[in-house]
Amino acid sequence: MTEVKVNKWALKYYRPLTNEVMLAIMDEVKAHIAGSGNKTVLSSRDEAYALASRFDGVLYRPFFKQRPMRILGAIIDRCGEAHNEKVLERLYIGKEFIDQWGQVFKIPPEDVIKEYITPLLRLHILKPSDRPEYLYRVGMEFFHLVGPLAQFRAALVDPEKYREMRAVVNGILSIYVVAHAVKSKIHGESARIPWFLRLSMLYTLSGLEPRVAQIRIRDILELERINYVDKYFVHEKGLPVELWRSIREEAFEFMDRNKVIEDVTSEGYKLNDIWIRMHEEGVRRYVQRLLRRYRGF
Amino acid sequence: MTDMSAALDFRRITYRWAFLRGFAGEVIKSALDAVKGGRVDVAQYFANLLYFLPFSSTSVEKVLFYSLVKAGRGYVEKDPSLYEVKASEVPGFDPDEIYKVKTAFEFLSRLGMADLVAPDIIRLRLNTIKGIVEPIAPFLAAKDLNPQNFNPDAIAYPYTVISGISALSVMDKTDRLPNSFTVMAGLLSPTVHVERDGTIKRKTVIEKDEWILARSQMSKLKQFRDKFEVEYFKAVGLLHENRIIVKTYPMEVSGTLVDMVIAPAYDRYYRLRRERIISRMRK
Repeated sequence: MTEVKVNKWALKYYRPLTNEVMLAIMDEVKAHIAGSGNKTVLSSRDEAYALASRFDGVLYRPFFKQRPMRILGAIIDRCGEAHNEKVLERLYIGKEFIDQWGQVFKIPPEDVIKEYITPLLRLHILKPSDRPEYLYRVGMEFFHLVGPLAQFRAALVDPEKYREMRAVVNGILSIYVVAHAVKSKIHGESARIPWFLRLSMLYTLSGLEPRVAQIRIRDILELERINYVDKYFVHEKGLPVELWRSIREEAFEFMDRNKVIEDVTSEGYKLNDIWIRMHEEGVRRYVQRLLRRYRGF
Repeated sequence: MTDMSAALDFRRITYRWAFLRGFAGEVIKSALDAVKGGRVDVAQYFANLLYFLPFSSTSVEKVLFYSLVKAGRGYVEKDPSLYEVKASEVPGFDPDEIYKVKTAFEFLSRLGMADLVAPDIIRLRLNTIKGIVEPIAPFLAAKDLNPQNFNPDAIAYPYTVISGISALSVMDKTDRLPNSFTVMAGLLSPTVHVERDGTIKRKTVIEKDEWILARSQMSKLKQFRDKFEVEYFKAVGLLHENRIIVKTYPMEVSGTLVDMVIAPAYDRYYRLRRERIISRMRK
């Protein structure tokens, strides 16, 4: 058995690295789904969907407020109705609906647009309406994505298919929200990547191969590596053991449910290919940022 | 003038029968290479293929099953002499069929799963014991087996692996492939492509357009005539049953299979093609 190498550099700079990975993931998903920005890693929209489905269920933790989810729930249901009855009229959102959202979800009326609608606009879920009598319109891409989802009251939905499509939608939203939290942190707020997600990323990043020309991450996660990362954080960083236990449990539940861990081999856990590639891209971006800062180009 | 460094992808492979058949043959060879390299788990993706081949001999399956169950007993009782199997003791063969057992023995030793001690005796190797026998041994020995600690995946794993290995061996030896397997290889071919400079690009997601194009190109091949639909459904069934398809929205296939089998198959196929083109130009 060969000796398992752990990249200590990645562990030491875990915070900027995970942040950069999250931003890279959002840029890539945005480039493929909303069509803005450069496509660097993935080759198609389907791959972006596959990547997004890896982030299913991040938002359901008590980590974020429930209100954006409720508004989104209303929008998804609306898309389903429009898809089912073939009435595109339903995709238009007027002033009275926005007032109603404020009322029933108990949001102060001045915050509705600023805090809840603007993010949806940036994600291209909502777009400015092309009809003067309405304020917003649901984006066609989002409609095509979730329209077939909310059919459960019109037709019997295959649960397997429903779960997989739902995972994609939920994953896109999760990526968006987490990456936005990271971005606002750069502007001076607190960090917002939940620990179970950050730990899953750290297990991956610790497999960064040292001193090779091209940035590469091993796709086999060995048990020794897991133990090393845990020891590093508990012994050297001094995190409480019991907290770490709960985080580790959550992280493995997350990786298993969303198929980040694809397989168990005799050497270790086999990690998903797209997941690995995005992490490599994140490291590349971080290194480029460092170079730019120190060399000035 | 032919382009020497042409790119290679599924559009070319599924376009003609000769390309598709050649590629499927390379898939078998690279799967066998992976098994020889110690990755026995790759074989499970090829389980149950044998039953689509008419008149195929199942001797490897019989021999391997018998020796593994015997070795499982040996593992539990800590008796290494049970790792050895004589040709005459394998059940399910007539006395005049002993040559079949011997060819199966030779194949297993060629595959690196067992050593030939004498022409009619094999001993299982340590990696076989660790990889396949260890998981089943507790179930062979357990006396208090109750439904709560019964893990069907663990106990069915050796069965799928053995079924896959025997399918691979028969297809490799006879050089006959079931049409459903050829279709399956064609459907999986969009996961990899070779670029103009010879670098191999892998992915695990098959896009809708790629799947539809691969399917429609294969349905036009003359060799399938009117039975393409049947073979297509068999192939999709196999893809699902052998757990090659991991997710359907978007369509995602097992990364291990792509890394260990499809990408090496492309590599072999690409190099063969280049050699052929170069030798043709020399003439």
